[in-house]
Amino acid sequence: MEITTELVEHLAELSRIEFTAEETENFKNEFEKTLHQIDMLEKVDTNGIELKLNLLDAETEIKEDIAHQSLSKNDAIKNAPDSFGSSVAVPLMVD
Amino acid sequence: MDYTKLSLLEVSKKIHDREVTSLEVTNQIIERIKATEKLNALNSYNFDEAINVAKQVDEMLDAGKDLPVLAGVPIVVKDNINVLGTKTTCSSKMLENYVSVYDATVIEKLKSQYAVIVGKANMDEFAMGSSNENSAFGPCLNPIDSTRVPGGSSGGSACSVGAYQCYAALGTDTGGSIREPASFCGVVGLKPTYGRVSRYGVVAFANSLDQVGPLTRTVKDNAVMLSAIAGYDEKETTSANVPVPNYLSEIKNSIKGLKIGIAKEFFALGMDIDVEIAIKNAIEFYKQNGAEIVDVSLKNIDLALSAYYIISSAEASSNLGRFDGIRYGYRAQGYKDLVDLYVKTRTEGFGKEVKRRIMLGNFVLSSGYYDAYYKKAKKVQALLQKDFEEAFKQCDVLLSPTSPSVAFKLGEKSNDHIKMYLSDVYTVPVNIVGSPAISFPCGKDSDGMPIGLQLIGKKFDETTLYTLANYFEEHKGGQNE
Amino acid sequence: MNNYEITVGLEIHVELKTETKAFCRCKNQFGAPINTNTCPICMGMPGAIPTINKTCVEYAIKSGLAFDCDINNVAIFERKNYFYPDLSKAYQISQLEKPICINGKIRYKLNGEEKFTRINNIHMEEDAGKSVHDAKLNKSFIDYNRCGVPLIEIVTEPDIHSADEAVATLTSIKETLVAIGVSDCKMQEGSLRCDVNLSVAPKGSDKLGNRTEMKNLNSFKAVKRAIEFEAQRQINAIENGEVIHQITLKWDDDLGKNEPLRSKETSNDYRYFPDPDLLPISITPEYITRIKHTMPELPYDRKNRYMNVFGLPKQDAETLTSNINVTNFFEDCLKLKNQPKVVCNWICTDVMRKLKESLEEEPNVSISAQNFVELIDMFQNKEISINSARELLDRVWDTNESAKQLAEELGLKQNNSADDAKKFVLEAIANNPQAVADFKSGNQKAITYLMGQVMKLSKGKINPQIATQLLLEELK
Repeated sequence: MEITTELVEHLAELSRIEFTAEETENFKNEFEKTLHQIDMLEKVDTNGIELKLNLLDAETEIKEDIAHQSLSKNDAIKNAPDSFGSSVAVPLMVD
Repeated sequence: MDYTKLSLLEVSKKIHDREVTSLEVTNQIIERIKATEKLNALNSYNFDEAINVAKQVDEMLDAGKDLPVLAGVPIVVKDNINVLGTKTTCSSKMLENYVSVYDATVIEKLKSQYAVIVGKANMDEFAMGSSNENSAFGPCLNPIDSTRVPGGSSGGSACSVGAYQCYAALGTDTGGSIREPASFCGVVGLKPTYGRVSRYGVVAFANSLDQVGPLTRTVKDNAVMLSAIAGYDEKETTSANVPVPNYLSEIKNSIKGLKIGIAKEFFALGMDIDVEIAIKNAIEFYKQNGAEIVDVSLKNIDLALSAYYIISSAEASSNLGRFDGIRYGYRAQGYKDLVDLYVKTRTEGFGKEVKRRIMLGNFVLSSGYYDAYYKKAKKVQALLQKDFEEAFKQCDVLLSPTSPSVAFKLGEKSNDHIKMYLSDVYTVPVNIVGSPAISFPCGKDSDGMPIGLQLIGKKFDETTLYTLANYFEEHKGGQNE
Repeated sequence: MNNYEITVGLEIHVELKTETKAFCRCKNQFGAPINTNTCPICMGMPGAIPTINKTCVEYAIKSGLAFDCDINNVAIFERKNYFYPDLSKAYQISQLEKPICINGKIRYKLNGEEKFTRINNIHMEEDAGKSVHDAKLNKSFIDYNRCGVPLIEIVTEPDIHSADEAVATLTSIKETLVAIGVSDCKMQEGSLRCDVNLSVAPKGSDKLGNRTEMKNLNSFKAVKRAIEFEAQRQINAIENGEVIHQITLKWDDDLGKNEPLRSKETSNDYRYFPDPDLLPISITPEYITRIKHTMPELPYDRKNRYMNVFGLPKQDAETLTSNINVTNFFEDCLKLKNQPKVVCNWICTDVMRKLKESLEEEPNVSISAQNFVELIDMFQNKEISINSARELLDRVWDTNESAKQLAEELGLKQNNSADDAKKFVLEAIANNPQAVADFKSGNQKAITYLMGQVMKLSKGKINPQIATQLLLEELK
C-alpha cells in the first residue's frame, strides 16, 4: 500500500514524536519497505481461525481485595523531573 | 588461582566447600570486569552491594549454614530488569538516570538465594534490536572478535558471560534476544516457555512474547539458573501455575529414542554455508547417538516474521507510552508547554529503532488498519501455534540454526533494518508460539566465530532441551573448544 | 422548544467502593495525603504489571444484575491509549468489545408515570489521577492516589428526552448503586460523574441531530441546568441556520453556560487492543448466581413492597426510600416495633423535618432506632403529648440521650388523671366567663380558646383528649 506524508505525520502525532522533513521522507521509504514485508499476511486464508488472546490458554486469576504496602510518597516521586511538595509537577494542563 | 574461568557449578562448589571465599571470587570478577571494560558489556556496576552480599555469604557459610547453589556467585542482570537502588536504563537516554524503586520478582528470587549481582548489562535500547548497536551508551562488542557485534538485544549479557565477567547473566527474549547473542558469543542461552518465568519488574517490550532467561557457559549452569528464577508469580496474571522441577537433576544421560524434528520450510529460509555445515554435522551427531531424526512440516513458518513485527510493535508502542517525561526519566529542556514537553522528550529520549517500532505499532493499531494488520497477525499466530502443535505430535524437539549467520561486523547491518530483521527468522517463531528454546554452540566458522544450534521444545519441557544440549556439550565439547 | 425533540444519552462513571484499586493493591481511599497510595503499577513505572481486583468484578456484576443487564460470559480488558499527565501508563485499561454487562434498564417514576432508560452497556475501567492547576506558576500538580481506582461506566441509550428524565435516571442509578453497596455515588466527591450527550431534532423527524458532549457536571442540579441550556443553545443555533458541530463542551455551573473545551483533541484514535497483561475473565452462571444471592432488595422493589405489603401511601414510600439512611432507619425501627404505618408517619413528618434542617446532601438520622421507638411508644401510651414528643425529639436528636429519661427529668410526662384535668377545666371555665358565654351562644371557636387556657393552666401536662372531653361535658 502507499504511504503518504500525511500518514507519517499523523502517526508521528499519535506517537508524540517529531521528525524533520528529511526524516519524514526517509521514514516514508523505510515504512513502505517494512509494510511490503508484512503485507504478505494479507494473502493468508485465516477464515475460521479464532484469535487467541494469550498463549497461556488459561483464565485470569482475580485477586483478593486486600491492601498491600504502597510506595512511600518519597519513592513515588523520587524520579520525577519536577515536583512540588508531594505532587508531580508539569506545565499547566489547559482543559 | 584464577577462578573466573570456572563454570557456575564449579565455582559454587568451591565457595561452598570453603576452598575459596565468595569475596575473593567477587573481587576477581570485579578485576576482570575492569580489565575488559572496552567490551562495554555493562552499563553500570553494583560493586559495593556485591561485596556486601559476598561478605554476608562468607559469614553464613563459615557459620555452617546451608545455602542455595547460587549463594555467593557473581551474576549480571540485563539493564531492563528492575533491581532496587540500581539504575535501570534499558540502554536508553529516556531512562539514563532512572533508579529502580522496587525489585523485579526474578531479582527477589536471586536475592533470596544470595546471588551476587555485580552489574547491569548493556542491551539494544528497550530490547529492540539484534546487535546491541542500538544502545544509547555505545555498542557492546563481541568478546571473541571485538570488530563484531555480540548480538542483541541481550548483547551485554551474552558478552559478559563469554568474557568471564560473571558466571551467569539474565537476559530477556522477545524475538530471539537471548538466543541470538548466545549463539554470536558462543554461550548457552535459554528462552523459557512463555509464562515459566515472571515478567513482573521487567520493562515490557511485547507483553505476550517477552520472557526472562539465563545465559551461561555450560548447559548445566543454565539448568541451575532456570530453577532459581522460574515459578508462578501471583503478581503476574500471565504467569503459569506449573511446578518448577530441579532442572539440573532432570537432565538425562541418554538421548536414545528422542525424536528430533527437521522442518524443511524452516531450513528453506536460508543460512550461511558454514552454519549449514555445522548444523548438518550436529544432526548427524544426534542421529549416530540414538536420536531419531524426523521430517516435519511447519507450513506457515514464513509468516512468522511479519506476524512478529506487527504484534510486537503494537504492544511496544503502547508499552512505551509511559515514557513521557512526567513521572520519571528524561524530560527535555526548553519546552514551551505540555504538548511540547511530550514531543521534545520523546523525540530526544528515544533512539531511531525505537521510534520506528513505535510508529509501526501505532500504524497497525490505528483505526482503519487494526483488522488488516493486528487482528490478522493474531490469527496468523493461532495458525502457527497449530502448525507447531501438529509438528510436536511427531517429535520431541525441533532443530534449526539459531541464526542464519555468525556474528556480523559492527555497522554491517545497522543501516538496513530489513536485513537486521531477517536475522531473526529462526528465533522469532518460537516467541510467537510460546515454546521454550535453547541455543548452544555447535561449531565454529572458518574465522573461529561460534555457530549456535537451536532446539525448540514442547511447552514446559525445558528438560528435554537441556538433556539434548547437555549431551552435545559433554560429547562434542562446549564453548572452550 | 416545543417544536423540537431533545435526545439525551448519559455516560455515567461510578467509583466502586472497594478496599483496593482496580489493578493493584494500593488502598482506594478518598482524601488520603498526596501520592501516599501509589505503587509501581498505578504510577506506570517501568516493568510493573496489573492484576484484576476480585471485588471490582463482583461489584460490576452486581450493578449489572441490579439493572436487569445480561452478564457476558467472558469479560475482556482493552487498552485505551492516549497521552495525559494524570494517566500514568499513557493508556487506560477499559473494556470495549466485550463489556461485562450489556442491555438492561434503569427504572424510575416521573410524574406518576413508570419509565425506564435503556442501558447499552456497563463496563469496568480505571480512574486517572487528580490534578490542580496554578495559572500563576504556569504549572499543574498531579496526585496519583486516584489513578487506578476502579470505575464502572454506565452507557445509556439515547432514551432520555428531558432534563427531568435525566435527573430521574441519575437518581435511580444513585439509589440503586448505594442500596447494593457498590458505591457512595457522591457527586461532590467525584464518586459519581456524568457526561451528557445531547442533540435536538424537529419533532416528528426520524433522524437524530448532531450531538454534543458536555462534561464537568458536578451535581444533579447542574445536569438539569446544563441540559436545558444546551438544548436551547442548539435550538437557537438551528433556527439561525447554523450547523451543530460534534464537539465537547465544558459546563460552568457558576455562569450557567457551557463553552468548548480548549484543548485540541488531536486525535480520538485510541487504538484499542486487548491488554496482553490480562487474560479474559470467565464468568460462569454459578458465579453469577452466587452474587445474586448476596444482593439486597433494590430501592424500586422496596418502594413497591412498602406500598403493596405495608399499605403505605406512594409519597411516603418514596420518602422512605429516597435516602438510604432513612431506609435503614425505617427497617431498624420495624425490627423493634412492627407497625409500619405508625413508624412511617412519625418518620415522614418529624424525622424528615429534622433532616431538612441539615445542610448535608445525605444527612444521617441522628437518633437511634431504639430511642425513637421508645418515644413513639410513650406517645402511644399517652405518657406524653404530641408537643412534648416533638420537643423531646428536638432535644435528643443530636445527643441521642434516652428520651424516656429526659421526659422524666424535664417533667414532660403527661398527666392522664381525669380528676386533675377536671380541676383545670373548672378553673378555666371560672376564669373565662365571656368565652363560656360565646360558646353557649354558638361560637365553636371559643372551645379552642378555652382548651388553650386549660393547657396553659396545666402547663401542657394534662392529656388534651381527656381535657376536651371533660370541658365539653361541663359546658353542656
